[in-house]
Amino acid sequence: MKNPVFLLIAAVTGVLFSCKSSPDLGKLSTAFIVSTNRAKTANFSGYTTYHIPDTISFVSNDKDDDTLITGAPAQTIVNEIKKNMDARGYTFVARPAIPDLALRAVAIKQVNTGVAYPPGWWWGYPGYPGGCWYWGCYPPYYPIYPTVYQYTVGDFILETFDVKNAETNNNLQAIWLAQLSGVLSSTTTTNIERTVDGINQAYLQSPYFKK
Amino acid sequence: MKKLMIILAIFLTGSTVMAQSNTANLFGVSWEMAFPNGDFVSKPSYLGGRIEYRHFFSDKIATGLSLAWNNYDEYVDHKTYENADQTQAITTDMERFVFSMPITADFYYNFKTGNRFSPYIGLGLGAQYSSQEAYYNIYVSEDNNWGFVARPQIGTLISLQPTSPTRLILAAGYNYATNKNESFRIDNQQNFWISIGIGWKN
Repeated sequence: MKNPVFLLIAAVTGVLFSCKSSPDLGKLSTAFIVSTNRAKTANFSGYTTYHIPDTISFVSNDKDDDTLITGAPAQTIVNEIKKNMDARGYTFVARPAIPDLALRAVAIKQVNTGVAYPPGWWWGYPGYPGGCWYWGCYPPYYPIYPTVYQYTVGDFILETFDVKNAETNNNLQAIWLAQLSGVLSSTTTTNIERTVDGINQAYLQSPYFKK
Repeated sequence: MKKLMIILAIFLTGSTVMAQSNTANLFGVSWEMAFPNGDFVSKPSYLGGRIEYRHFFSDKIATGLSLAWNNYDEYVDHKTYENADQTQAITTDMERFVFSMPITADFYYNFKTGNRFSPYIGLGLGAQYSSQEAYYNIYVSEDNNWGFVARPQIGTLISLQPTSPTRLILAAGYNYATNKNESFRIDNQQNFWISIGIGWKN
């Protein structure tokens, strides 16, 4: 090599040729991604009452997990949903009254990562309640789907069904879906806090959902 | 693909001419900084570079080939995104990342000044590879694509010593590429860029 400039150029090229760098993910928050999905034709002001059970359906691929979340964790989350529904002008009714809107909460814990499922895969999942409820049997009908299909770690889905028009429609139409997705903490308290924040955000980004 | 073939044809034709010519050649390496002009990312990139080869047919005319790259990385705080008919909304913060790599055949017109400075204007035409990524929570949405790219530029070669083959390369230009990404609503990719580099001219 006659000219040291060649060496310099080779060295600089080597350094610069790391080319594609990696994004800095240090600032990303652990807050759940909140997605909401509404039925375009639904008239949200046409409903007056709602009902939500005080338990949360739980789908997990951990065989030791139960199929229901009960007690204080469920109560905290359900109360937050009720608070939002009340603030939007709807009235809670207890069984055996038939509500205009039926809400159901489903929590999903997926221990494995990188597994993709088709939309609605969790419907009919072993242990998941069927479509026959105390107000009648109707086939579930989903004009809308959760927007994130890749269940990797944790999801919380809040479904809102139109019971009022179920007989006329001859199906139980989901008019609003809220889905919270993201990494789960090992601490239950943290997961509940994230879920509560996510529920509030779901209502905040759905101003049309009101009496 | 047709664009790539045309670029390749231009380059190969140029190479034949170069092989027959006995005039000057320049090989350069530069640090290229880019200032994006678009909605997806707006933060400047300082992680870029360019390697280039130029063949001088005369004091005034040169052609060449260059490969440049840049990395854009930007954090976007929590924001709600809605679809067109407002039936879907999603709220999240995200880290957006764009990598771009224009590969161009270049044409230069050099101004003879008689001193150490050799200013020039140039135009690079070619193809740009780009990948766009959005990271949110533990998820990522990504796509990569090719587009046509045009890179008009001005610059100067500076001779550090009268007899030395070493040149300082200062340049500035604009990068317009047709790379599209419907998910991220990117219709094209544009940026200003400036660069400082070192070259060896025989």
